[in-house]
Amino acid sequence: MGNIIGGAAVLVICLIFWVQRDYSSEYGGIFPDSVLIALAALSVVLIARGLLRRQDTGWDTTGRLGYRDLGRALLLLTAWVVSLPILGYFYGGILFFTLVALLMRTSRPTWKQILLDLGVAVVVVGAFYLAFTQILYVTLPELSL
Amino acid sequence: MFEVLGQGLLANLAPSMLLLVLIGTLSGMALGAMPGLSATMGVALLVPFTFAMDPTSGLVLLGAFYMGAIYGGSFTAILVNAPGTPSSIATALDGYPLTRKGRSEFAIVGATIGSFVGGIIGVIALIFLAPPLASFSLRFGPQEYFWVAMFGLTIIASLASGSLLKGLIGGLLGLLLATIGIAPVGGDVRFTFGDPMLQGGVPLVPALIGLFTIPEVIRLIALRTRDAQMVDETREKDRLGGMIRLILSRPVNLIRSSIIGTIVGILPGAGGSVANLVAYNEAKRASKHPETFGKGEIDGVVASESANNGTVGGGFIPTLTLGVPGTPPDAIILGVLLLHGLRPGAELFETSGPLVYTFIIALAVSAVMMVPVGLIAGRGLQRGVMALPVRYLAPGITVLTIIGAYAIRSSVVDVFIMLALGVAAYLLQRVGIGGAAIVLGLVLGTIAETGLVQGILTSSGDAVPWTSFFTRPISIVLILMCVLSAAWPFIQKRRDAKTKGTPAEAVPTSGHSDRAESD
Repeated sequence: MGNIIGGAAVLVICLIFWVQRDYSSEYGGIFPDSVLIALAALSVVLIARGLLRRQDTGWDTTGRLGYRDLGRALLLLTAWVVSLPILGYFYGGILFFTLVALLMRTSRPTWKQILLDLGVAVVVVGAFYLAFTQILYVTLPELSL
Repeated sequence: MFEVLGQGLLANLAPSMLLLVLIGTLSGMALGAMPGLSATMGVALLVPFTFAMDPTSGLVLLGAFYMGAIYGGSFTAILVNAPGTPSSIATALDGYPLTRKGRSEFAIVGATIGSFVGGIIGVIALIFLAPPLASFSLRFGPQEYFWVAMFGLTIIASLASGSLLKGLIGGLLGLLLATIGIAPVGGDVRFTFGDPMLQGGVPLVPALIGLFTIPEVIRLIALRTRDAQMVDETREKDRLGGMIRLILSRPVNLIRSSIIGTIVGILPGAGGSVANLVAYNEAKRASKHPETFGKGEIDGVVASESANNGTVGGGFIPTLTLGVPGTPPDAIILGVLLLHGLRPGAELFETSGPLVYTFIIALAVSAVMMVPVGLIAGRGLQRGVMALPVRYLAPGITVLTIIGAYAIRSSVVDVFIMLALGVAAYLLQRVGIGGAAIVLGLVLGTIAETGLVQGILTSSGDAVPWTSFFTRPISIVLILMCVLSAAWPFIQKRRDAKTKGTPAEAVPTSGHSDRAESD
């Protein structure tokens, strides 16, 4: 089933790119079109393999995660990145660093542990923030509430 | 020549010059270790500081910084699977699996020794072979660059030993990602989905971080613990001397990879990002136990790091002799040379010999300094990362990845791209399509397309322009290398099967080892 799902997903990607084709020069499409056609052909081969060789599941079972754990990780990372333009690097970083650290604890955290995680977050995020903005002169996203 | 070489050596032995090289090497290593801050960016950031210096000191500082930055990229590649620079992509392929086995210290030592040997061989080539090698590199036209990229892509056959089909799909996905944005020749705006930020294409560093690091961060947060095998406390600790002896006991890999790095460095536009992958592939092909590559093989780390530091000396060959920069940081240093009124060419070596040779020797001194400094700093960093509780390691890596993705173009969109590619990479890994092949396609896509289109345009006067790709002497050699490289895993498999007396499969069957590519 993994081969069929994988092949179908790549075919969908090919389709999305194919409808976006809009070339203005003679040779602008020569390379991407060749890649798209080759990719689509190989995806069909992968699907065919999935259909013909049922004993080969096509899934990579190493390091498989539970849906709940995976969902929590994806949600936290997405929320962190999406909040970046609003909360900025510093405040968003402290908030989500603390949140991730607390949620990664296996037992219910005490107030002392919450303060410890918050303190580590302030030190780590603050150190990176100062190093980049004050020493390397790299501007980072700021709070824009 | 030997007289000015001696003068250069003496100049480098002055305490002030040694201090300058030490500062350059250390700061380069620190910057290279941060994902997102490439050697190019670091050298560019450093240029204003050199304005107040005399030309020799300024160039020495820049050269040492560049050497250190290329080496520094290996630290995060090994410890957290985040290549600090594109030159360390292949380092992560085996460095991080070594970390997962609790052998990150061994990987750091391998990277250090490899970087040292690569750096020294590159400098030797720069001193003795600069003029003939520089003129040879000018014979490479678009057709040859196209075949160089194709040669790089044949590495997929080697990387995807589990399932060639899935490896090829990954490589083509990378090539497709490389076509996003303005076309390198012709200027077509392609596949931007209406977002002007995508006109610049998929930025390499955020893509690298996304494809390699984000899947690991997802795993760390989801599992709430390191892999059980990541820290093996039961195993006896390796001794530094033993580790160094073991690495030096395989000199062929060290020397071959350094030479590959030097040669690729000479080719303008290729650089460390290509060299480390080519050297890795050759190390795997030449190995007696290629099946261990991607699962924590020290030769993979050594090959990648020897090659990327070999590009430093190699890249300066066309820069100093022809004024054609071999790598992007070389272009910046070339600018500094011109700023001081120094024109590259044979004359530069005659009229400004002491300056040029002081600079070249400083590169070698920097490579030597990397050994003690790297072993202390790298192993210290390694112990720090290993001692860090995983609940701080995962968000700590995320903090670093966000900066790395953002800093290149000061764009939040790049952070979104990093996350999207990271999540996609995790899901693709689940169906056996590894991130390494995608990265390979992304790195080589622009080189391949530019070579292809420019090759057709330059031979448009011919009856059949395509034939120019198959008739030029260097192209023919490169085509043969491509065929050999693509066929090698099959030849090796058949040979192994014959040795074992069991029938071989014509094509590697689907397996589950692809994940090892990026783990």
